[in-house]
Amino acid sequence: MSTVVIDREIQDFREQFLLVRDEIARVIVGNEEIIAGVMTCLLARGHVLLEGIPGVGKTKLVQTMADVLHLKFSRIQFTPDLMPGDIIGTTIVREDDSGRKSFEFQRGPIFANMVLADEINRATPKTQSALLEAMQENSVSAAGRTHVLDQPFFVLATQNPIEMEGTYPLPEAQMDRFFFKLKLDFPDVQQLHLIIDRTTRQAEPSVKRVLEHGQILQMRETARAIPVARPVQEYAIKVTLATHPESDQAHELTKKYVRFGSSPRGTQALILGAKVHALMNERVYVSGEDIRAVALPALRHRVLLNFEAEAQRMDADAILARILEWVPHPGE
Amino acid sequence: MKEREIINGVLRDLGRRLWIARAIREAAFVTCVVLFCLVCYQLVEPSVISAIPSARTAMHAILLAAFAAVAVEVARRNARRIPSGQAAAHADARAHLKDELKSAHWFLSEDPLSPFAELQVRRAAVTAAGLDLAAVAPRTLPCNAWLAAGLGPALAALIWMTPQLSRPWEAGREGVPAERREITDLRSLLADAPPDAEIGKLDRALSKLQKTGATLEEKMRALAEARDAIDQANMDASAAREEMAKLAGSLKVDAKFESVVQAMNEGRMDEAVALLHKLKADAASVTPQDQASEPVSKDGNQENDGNPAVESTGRNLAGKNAAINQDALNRVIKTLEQASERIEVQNRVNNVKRHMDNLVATNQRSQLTASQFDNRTNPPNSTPAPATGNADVRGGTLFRQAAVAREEADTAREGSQTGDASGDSVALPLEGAATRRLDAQLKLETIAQKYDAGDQAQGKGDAGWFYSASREQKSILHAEDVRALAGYDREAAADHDRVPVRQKTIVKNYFLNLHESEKK
Repeated sequence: MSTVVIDREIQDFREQFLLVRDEIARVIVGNEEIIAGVMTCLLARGHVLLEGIPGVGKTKLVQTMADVLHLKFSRIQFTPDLMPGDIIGTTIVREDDSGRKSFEFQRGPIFANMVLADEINRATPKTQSALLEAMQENSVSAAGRTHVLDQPFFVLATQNPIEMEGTYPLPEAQMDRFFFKLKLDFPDVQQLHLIIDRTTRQAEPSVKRVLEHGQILQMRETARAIPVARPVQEYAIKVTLATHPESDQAHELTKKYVRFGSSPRGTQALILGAKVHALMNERVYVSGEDIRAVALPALRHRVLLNFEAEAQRMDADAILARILEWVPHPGE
Repeated sequence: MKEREIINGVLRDLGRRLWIARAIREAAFVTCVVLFCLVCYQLVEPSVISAIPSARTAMHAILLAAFAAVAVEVARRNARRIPSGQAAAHADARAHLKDELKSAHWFLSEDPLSPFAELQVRRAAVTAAGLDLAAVAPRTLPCNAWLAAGLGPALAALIWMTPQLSRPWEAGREGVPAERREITDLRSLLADAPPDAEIGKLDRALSKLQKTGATLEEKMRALAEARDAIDQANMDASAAREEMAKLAGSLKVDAKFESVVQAMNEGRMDEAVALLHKLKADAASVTPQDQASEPVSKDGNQENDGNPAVESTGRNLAGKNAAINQDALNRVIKTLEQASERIEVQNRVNNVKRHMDNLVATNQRSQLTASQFDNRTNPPNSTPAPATGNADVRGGTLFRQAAVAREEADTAREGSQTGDASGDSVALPLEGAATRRLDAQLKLETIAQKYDAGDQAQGKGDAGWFYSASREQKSILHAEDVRALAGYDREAAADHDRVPVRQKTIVKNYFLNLHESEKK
């Protein structure tokens, strides 16, 4: 493959990325970083957990993204009485014209390219775990058969951080399977004006599909091909190890406030997210800056804090920010 | 591969520049460390040497060994070249290249290169070729190194140039020979002085002060003797001045001695003596026979320094208008020469005193207080005043050393205003209406009050000598007193002075009228 072709691929990647982002931005006000983060997860073959108070546009963002991307979309509203079969599907008895009866697997809403798991923490852990295999293996086992999910398979889960009554917080194992955890903040005054202008008129803005199924798969391949130099990779590993309280390279805040550090999936997320970030900046290598740019969404849900941190209202973002300042940059 | 050569070449050059910059920086650092050690050594060495005299050689050896060790360590560190990866990281950091060169350098170590890595290397080669190495790795010292390099020599120079700052403990040690040298200089001031007993005393006192191994007590005693001699010389000079003033008063009767008197009044003794010699020569050539007919003096004690003799000599000299008594003239000349010598002695001893005071002031900061140089210790009265007989003050003597020559209009009491040689004046006799004793007046006041109270009780009115108030006035005043009682109590509680007003008036009037002839 010649460098000219690669150059063209990189250009296309960036243009398509910006195209999707701009199209989504026609409906979603602000939140450019959130849109970029969701796109990064999609292109890095990850899944994203969106967290925010009600009404900040979590579901709208996902719906708009599904409209923009030419992908099969399904939405699952998680409720306490939702069963795993409601997600992955169930086997039913079907009788044909000859009167012969047979079992047939009826596919659930998870058989889509984009799955919106709305308010995922309202379902029981049993139901939540139904997503585990699908998210990690990209396949579903039902009635003794394994059903491979179509690619791209992308789960977007939302959860509300304040209404915790009657909810089932996601277990650590499931949290770890999300590539990024993105927090949607409340919009500022200017953004509120724009939201009202766009949503309280007769015709709401509409979006068009700008990215095809194949283009997304191609972008995924391009992102994976970005090389990472060993010093940068070491930097990502150091950042991960700094979140482990038992590690020699742990930060002092980690030793004080962290119960469990990030898993190796966190390092993978750092590198893959950094690759997409590098491509977004028209670079064909990963730098320490890319690692730092994706460190918070990639690690914040993988760092489990202890009771002392909760008592002192210390959150993972603050600890990670200190770690990023503390760990020497690549080559230093 | 061309890109590989470009990147490696740039990183090699950059590494060389970084190596040189590091060497310069560390050399500056070592220079500062060496300077700092030298300054510390300069500060510590005297105290260590004074405690352990044989430690000097060992300290020098340790210092040299330390310098050698630092130099070897710096040389060892600088012997290592800057690796290319480190140079790439430095360039990335300085030129904000976002790890481009470092990544490319690492990709170049991989074989074969992936297409993306190859593209990265190609881009990095373009970036490296356009890199300004002088900006990325300047060969100048950083600002703080310049500052340190400037401050180090300045501090060292300051310490070496200021012995008092660098070796304050040696100041006392060097002060002893310096003090001796100073006293030698003081004694040299007395070398060609006129022969005088006080000069001899002062010289002996200074020699005791200069003696090696003299204790503090001996020095104190010597200083006291020196001050006594100086005071005595001043007193002699004052007496001589008074004599001259009297002599001038008696000579001015004769117009021939007008110029002599003027020279004496103006303190030009040599000129006055020369004029008298001239007059003597003139008189000898003009009237030798008249001199024989004139008696020199009824008083045979010609060497007496007392005022009557001097005045009589002057009167004898100026008694005749036409002739000049040769013997009297000789005595006057001799008196003048003696007075001149005493004044010269006074000048010398005062000069010595001034320098001695400076010497004492210099030394007292570490050894003695000013009061220890006084010629008297433990003053009997803590309130120095001429009238109480206590002339001691800390660090000095309360009296006027030089008398003021009397003027024509001076009265007998002039001494109380101008002071005299002894520093005190004769108390004036009490006179005027207030000559009644103060304590007697105050007792009378008390008796008068008692008497006043008795009269009041009998209704006979006030028999006191201040004024007599009517019954109405007393009634009003009494009512006012009762009304003001509360306020008075408050005021009296805060007032320490409970002396009645009338007694205060008595005391004031007593001192106002003590000498009615004086203008108040």
